[in-house]
Amino acid sequence: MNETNHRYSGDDAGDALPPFLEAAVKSVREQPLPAASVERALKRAREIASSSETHRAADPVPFLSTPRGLQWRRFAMRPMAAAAAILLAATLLYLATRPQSAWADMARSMLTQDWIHVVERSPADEPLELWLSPRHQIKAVRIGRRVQLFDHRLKIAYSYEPAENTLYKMPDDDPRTPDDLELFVDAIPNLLRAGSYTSNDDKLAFLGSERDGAKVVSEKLETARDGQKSWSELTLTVQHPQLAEPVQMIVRADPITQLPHSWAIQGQVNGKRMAREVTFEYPSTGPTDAYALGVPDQAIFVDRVPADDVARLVDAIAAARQRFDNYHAIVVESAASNQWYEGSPVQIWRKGTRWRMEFSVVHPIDPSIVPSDHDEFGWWRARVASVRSYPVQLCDGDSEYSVRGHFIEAENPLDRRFEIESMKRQPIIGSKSDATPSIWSRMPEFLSHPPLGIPRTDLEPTVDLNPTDGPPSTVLLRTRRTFVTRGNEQSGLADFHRYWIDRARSHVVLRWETSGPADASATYVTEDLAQSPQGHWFPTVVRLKNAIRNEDGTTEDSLLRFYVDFDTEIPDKMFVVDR
Amino acid sequence: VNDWDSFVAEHGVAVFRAAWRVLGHRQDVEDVTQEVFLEAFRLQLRTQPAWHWPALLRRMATFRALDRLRRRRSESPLDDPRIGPLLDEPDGVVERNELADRLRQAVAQLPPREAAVFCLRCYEELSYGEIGESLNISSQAVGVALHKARLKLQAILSEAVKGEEP
Repeated sequence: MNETNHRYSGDDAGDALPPFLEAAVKSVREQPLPAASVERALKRAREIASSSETHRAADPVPFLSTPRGLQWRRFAMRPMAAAAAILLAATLLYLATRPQSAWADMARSMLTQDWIHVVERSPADEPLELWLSPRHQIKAVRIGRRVQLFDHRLKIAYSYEPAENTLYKMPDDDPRTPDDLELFVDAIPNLLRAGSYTSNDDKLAFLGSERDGAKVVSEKLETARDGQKSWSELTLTVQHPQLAEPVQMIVRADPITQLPHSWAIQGQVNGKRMAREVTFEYPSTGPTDAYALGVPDQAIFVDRVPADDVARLVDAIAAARQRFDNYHAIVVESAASNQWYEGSPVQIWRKGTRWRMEFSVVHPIDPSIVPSDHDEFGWWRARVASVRSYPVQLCDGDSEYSVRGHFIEAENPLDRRFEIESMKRQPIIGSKSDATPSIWSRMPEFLSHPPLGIPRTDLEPTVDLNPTDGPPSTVLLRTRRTFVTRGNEQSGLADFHRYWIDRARSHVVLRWETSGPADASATYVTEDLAQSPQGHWFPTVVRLKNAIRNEDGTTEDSLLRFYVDFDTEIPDKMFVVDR
Repeated sequence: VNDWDSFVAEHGVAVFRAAWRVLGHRQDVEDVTQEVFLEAFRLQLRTQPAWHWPALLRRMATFRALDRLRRRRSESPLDDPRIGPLLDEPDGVVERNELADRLRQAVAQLPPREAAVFCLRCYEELSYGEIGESLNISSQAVGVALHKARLKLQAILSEAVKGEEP
């Protein structure tokens, strides 16, 4: 990998470098490449084609906001280590399929406790403490000085940011991405639901694809002694396609109360030793507010529960998006300077809470074959029917699936096809009734009613009922980013997001802007609108300002054209995943 | 091995190398490599004429790496771990690595166009015509930018050496 042939094949004599500079250039050129780093980089590059993130990243339409709820909860959610997740999945499956097991009694015992205090330790992380109260419907998490408390009964959550010395109050009305420890505990009522044990794996759908392929290769239940104390000890050895070697998990429980005492994972993952230990205690009292978890009395208190105008706009936009008609759409993106028949088509089918998206492989066509007097939608229908398409994402109402696969080249480019290797299941983002697809920036109801990213601790929303700019007869919803982080160009922006909303036309967002670095900033302008049979407004043409970045640094607008059919019959099988 | 894997195998090291020469920082170079291949993937999905991939990818890697180099310079000094522990390096390697880093820091101080011309010419050995095409400037303008870059780099590096003399 070390390139040593140093030469200057100059176009002119001015190429000669002064000796010191030439030596410096030579030292750069001859510096060996770090082999491990090259391997990592190539591995990441290879994964691009099979990742749904690719389609998100390849999508020239930047995403407006992180799906609600994820950002402000980020610190409580320690990244789920793959091995731990796999073990968790295997454990839960093990419990679920063993109705007579004493371990089911353990689960039942846990649910009768006033409080469960869990501490998770691993060599690489700060200890994580978790308090759960099935009785009080409270859950709290503490990592170092960081604290979050969820009062599920009041649907309120509190989040303390030590860097800001600020305690945020937030609504707790959205589902979340749980971490593995909480999954372990939360899974117990799932397994015991309706008073009967079941092996119905739908109840474990929240584990996503991690549970697929997990296999318990050995199990051992015995009595273990620790000083004077004896424990019931279950040892599971688990294999998984993602793990080179089997990993071991040991659960200890009190033989009398059946309450778990510890849960340990150990093994080798990717050649490195992995060790995690979780201990369980059952106190009679626990934290009922954030201050009991160590939040300073003098912390600044900020209420981010949307109120009044903001709440009404957020709710109205979400409702319009949810209630949108069923449809089949062909959405074509092209440079603004291109003709309507030039571009990349995406097909979308939506039926209630289910959707399917397909990309088509098209190649430039001879403009002379395009009739000048024509039905654009009809033309595109015929066009996508004549080329190969492949699904990129699909939702069956319960889970989202992203495609993994690769292209197979052919002599004739039109015969190039995409071979699907697998469909990866993942939990839907948001709630089942208002899910946010991974790729939503081609869906008409999302372009007109985008996820707003409200509420979020670091976003302060305000409403201007009489904006001085933007489309006429609109109100302006703007968010200020309040938290400034070092080196983060997006932080501290006065107008992080701006949405001009037409309240008279089903709260359609006619223009929206998001600020930030070049890659993240975007401006969407709805140029034409139509109304669905049920009366919902949606865009037929949207302009994305400066969305195309040319190699020379210049930019160009792109256009999204929406051809939407509300009458077509959409068979249910469109949303069935054949795994 | 599928198409994409072959494509990455064919061009991956060249992309990494182009970014490495500009940045010399593992994590950043890995990120840039991924960015470049993401863009390439996107280009493949679009209806575009056939690209001359080897040159295009190297140019993209150089441009993205320069963007990152400037951003890094504005955020923090160039003191990140670069090529790992130097203690066991054979004689002369430490000095050469230091020299390489000095040049990178100096390039980060150049105006964007001059930095791009310098890197494409001296690191990637592209012709004036290829450089001019990618920057949308004439070959003559490439020569002028390269001349200015050389003078400035010489001045910056000389200044740095003087600053270290007792």
